[in-house]
Amino acid sequence: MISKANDRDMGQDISQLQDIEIIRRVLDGNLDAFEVIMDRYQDQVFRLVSKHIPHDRRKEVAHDAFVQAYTSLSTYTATGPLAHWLSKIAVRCCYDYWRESHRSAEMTISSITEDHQTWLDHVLLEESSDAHKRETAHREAKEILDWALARLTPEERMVVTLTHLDGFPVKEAADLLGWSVIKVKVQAHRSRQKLRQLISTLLPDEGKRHEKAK
Amino acid sequence: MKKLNEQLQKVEAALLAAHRREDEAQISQEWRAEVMSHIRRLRPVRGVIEEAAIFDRLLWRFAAAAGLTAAAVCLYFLFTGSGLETDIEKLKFIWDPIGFLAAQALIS
Repeated sequence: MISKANDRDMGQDISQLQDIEIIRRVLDGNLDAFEVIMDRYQDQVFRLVSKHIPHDRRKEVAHDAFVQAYTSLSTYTATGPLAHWLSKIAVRCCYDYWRESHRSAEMTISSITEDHQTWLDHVLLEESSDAHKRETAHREAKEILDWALARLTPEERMVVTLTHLDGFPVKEAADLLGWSVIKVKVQAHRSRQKLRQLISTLLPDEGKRHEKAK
Repeated sequence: MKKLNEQLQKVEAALLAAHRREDEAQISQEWRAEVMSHIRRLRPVRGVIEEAAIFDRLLWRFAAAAGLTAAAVCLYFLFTGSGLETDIEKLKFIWDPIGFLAAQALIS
């Protein structure tokens, strides 16, 4: 009875402790303390993973990220916030996922359908920025982006998603990926060009649009 | 070409907004329980947070700044021709002008 009460008290204490103290407890063998870390950071990790990974594989990658965080907890040096350390692990898990899918040729490369083309025409015809934003609610936008990203290498995909789509500064993206700033700058530029080139192939050329107008 | 660029910018902006739109986080209790049960099956992780590593990093971060400051001070004195002895003499004059002048007179 007493021990149960103590456990409960301890549990309450744990949830109010700072990250570093919780990590110390996990490293001392208190596995339940890791649940507090999950509780604090699962949304952040899941949100980050969701930006990079297809819908049906997000849980799996987020799962891997937390398991990897647990197994490498003793390497956490507390020189930065735990949130940032976990983000690094999550980003690297996403990168590993794309490398693995690329290697095993497991990726299903989608194709552009008439729906996507219609969405593109809508975006090009709209003048108002509000309407423009409304259009983005369409599933087609995400599918077009996935179509283009699937044609990049895992490296290109990760770097362009972090720097261009997620809007991370180059230095932060380099830190998350564990690359040099120069490498990120070069890769981000090349990948962005490649992405633009891919998207431009979807745009209706002048001739086709003239025919439509007639 | 200009028109193509404009079109491209429009589509890019729409795709960017679509990407940045927050997806609902679908984290269930079951998912969390699965992760925790996986972790419990693993070998317990033991260790200590290396406070020394934190100190080392800070030390090296300040070492670079300290080194640069020392080099700058050396260069300053090298090019201005000022030395430590001159500065000490100047200070002596400020603290005790009469004694300083008397000592100068005695030496000469």
